[in-house]
Amino acid sequence: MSGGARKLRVHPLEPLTTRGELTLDDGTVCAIVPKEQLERLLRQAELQEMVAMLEDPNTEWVDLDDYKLQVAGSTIAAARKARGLTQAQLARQLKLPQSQISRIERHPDRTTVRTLKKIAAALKVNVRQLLP
Amino acid sequence: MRIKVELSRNAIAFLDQLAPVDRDDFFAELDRLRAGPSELLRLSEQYSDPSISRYVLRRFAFGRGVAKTAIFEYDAARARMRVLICRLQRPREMRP
Repeated sequence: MSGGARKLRVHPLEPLTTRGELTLDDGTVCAIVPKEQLERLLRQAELQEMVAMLEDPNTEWVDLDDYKLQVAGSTIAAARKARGLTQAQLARQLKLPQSQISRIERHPDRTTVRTLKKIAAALKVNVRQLLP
Repeated sequence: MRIKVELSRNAIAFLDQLAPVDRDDFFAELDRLRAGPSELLRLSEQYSDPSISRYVLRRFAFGRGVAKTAIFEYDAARARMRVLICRLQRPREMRP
């Protein structure tokens, strides 16, 4: 326990097992509720948030497959950076234009397995590690 | 019939912060769940009471180490599940 622990004053409104109030030194008034009740309130709030999300026409939904591709692109870029290579250096190593490496990192689905295997070999990782 | 899966931006923000091993586990769990309605019902548990909410909300656990939970809505008519939030699972009660 650090030496800076604050002193708390407790003013029970009702027996503390059901409800109470606690005032911090800075004047903040906190409510004391049974843990079970707090968990129920948190769960209700979470549920309300989720229902609002479902009912809001502006909620944006991303297709799982699109997200997987986005992850794959960032995985390739991360593996390249981990090897300390720039897109241009990797492209030179694979005898490909740098624009193709850039495109593969943005859209890994628009490339061939052969190219992906080449990239994996150059980055010294298993090709399965590059695709979720 | 394979179930279509969509993710909310909230869920994606959480998944982006995870280690690749946890994210891969999330994808693997989803692949099992989306294989069909019976798998979905078998591999996930009810989250909200249908008598309270008109949405069918369910959840499943994923991840290595600290367990994570994904809560989703399942729309059987559209054969679609929408992952609303992903979060760390609350710790279990400690024995006194």
